[in-house]
Amino acid sequence: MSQDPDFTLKLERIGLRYGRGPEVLSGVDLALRPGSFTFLTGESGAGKSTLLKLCYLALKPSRGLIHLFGQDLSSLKPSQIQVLRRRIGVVLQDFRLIDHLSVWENVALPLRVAGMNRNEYRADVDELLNWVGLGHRMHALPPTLSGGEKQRCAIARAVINKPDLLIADEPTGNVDPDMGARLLRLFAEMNRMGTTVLIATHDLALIDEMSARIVHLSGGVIEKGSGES
Amino acid sequence: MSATDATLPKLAPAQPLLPTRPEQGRSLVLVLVIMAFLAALALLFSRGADRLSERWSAQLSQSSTIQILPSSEALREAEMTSAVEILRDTLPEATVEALSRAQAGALIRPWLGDTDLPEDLPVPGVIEVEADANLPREVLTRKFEEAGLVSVIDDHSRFSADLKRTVGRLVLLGVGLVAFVGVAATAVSIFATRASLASQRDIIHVLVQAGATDRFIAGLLVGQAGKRGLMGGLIGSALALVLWLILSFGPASGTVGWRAVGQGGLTDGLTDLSALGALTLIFGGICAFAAGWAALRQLSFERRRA
Repeated sequence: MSQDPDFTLKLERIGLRYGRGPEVLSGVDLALRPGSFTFLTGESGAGKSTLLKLCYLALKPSRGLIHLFGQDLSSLKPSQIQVLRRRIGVVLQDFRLIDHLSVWENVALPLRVAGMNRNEYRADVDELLNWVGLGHRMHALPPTLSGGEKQRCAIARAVINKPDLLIADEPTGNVDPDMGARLLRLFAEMNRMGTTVLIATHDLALIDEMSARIVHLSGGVIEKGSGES
Repeated sequence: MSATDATLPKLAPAQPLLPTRPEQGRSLVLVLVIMAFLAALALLFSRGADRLSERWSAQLSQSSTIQILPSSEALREAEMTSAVEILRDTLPEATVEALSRAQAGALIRPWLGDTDLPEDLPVPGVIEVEADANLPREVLTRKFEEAGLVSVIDDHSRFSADLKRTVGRLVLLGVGLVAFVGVAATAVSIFATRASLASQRDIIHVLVQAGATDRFIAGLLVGQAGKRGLMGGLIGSALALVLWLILSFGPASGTVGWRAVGQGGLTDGLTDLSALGALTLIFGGICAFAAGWAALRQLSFERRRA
């Protein structure tokens, strides 16, 4: 098993096609150093969401190599990959909240899956929910939440286990500017504490607020910012 | 975070990660109840038939019929007396009863019709023997021969063997039926697990993304299927038990049901209840195991396909 501790995530010559269709991503190289903050930009249909799916292991590439936390994914067993997944926090555009679980249970999900005792993490969950402004909605079910509340719930779930890598797809798309700035501060704070952050966004204001590396994707190819800056 | 348990309100119990769908669950439990009912009934009937066979065999082995073929009607009484003495000498603990000519004649009336038997009809002398131990057939035959008596000893062993063979087949049929129902329960559980995985695909994806292993996800389905199997097994067995009680003690009570407590019914009842308990546990186990196997297989298949 190859180990490369210099990178949290490293994609090498990645290509991806669905079935026998054309390549959606072609020859993509991307490396994220530990503790880095990166924005992924690009037009709609450029392949940002697909690239993110590769990064959070929801897709396998058609070609190329992915190294995560210094380990070559192609050499790992499924159960080992699942252990690595626990170190990644993901915020998706469609939130993917579980409708029959309360906001509290949704946020606590990664800790429950990791086998932690509820009494060990209940205070953390309560505090984080208060921080993202959902303290009064912790017993509500997701279908009763507004779009912004769902987004904050999804973000809280992504960060509750203090992941080593945080990947977010348009994380401020459904919240007002004030809450967007507050969430960005949360990401920045996590980044300051060592979490590697990768955010796909169209929001130029969000990008302007952070002096972070920008990677631009166009037509399935990384145009600028390729490699680690 | 500095909050302690003492400052926090009581934590609500964890919600199940996979939703329980009452409509789907009820239909499945109903199917499992019917299968468990059939299996439990087959089990009770085969055990009842086995017990009945043992009871009859025990009764048969204790009673024997000895025919003395008289050399002439004039010597009939003397030869019967001699045979009874030989039996009492050989089996001092046994009950020996010689039937009169009229009683012996009554035994062959079904073949000859309800008419007076001719005086010269050579009706064999019949002696009934009730003994705890098996009849020493060879010793008696030798003693009768030494006394100049022609005898036929019937210890009912052939009938007993036929009975055991027939009941053995019935028991085998019952066991086969229970096994068949077990296979059906396995298939139902596999089908339900696949349907559950398909209908809850979105939740499974979230769990996978959160780092849940296949074993963790399969464990959730195993828990659901196990509870469903136990519930189906319990209700099905209880219904079969009610029917069995009606058959045992109701107005149309048959011979294979439980006997009265004083006749060993309590032992029979406790053994059967234990068997039904085991059947319920096995039912739950089969459903849980099948769900786990199907879930692991399906998750592995979907991962390869991704």
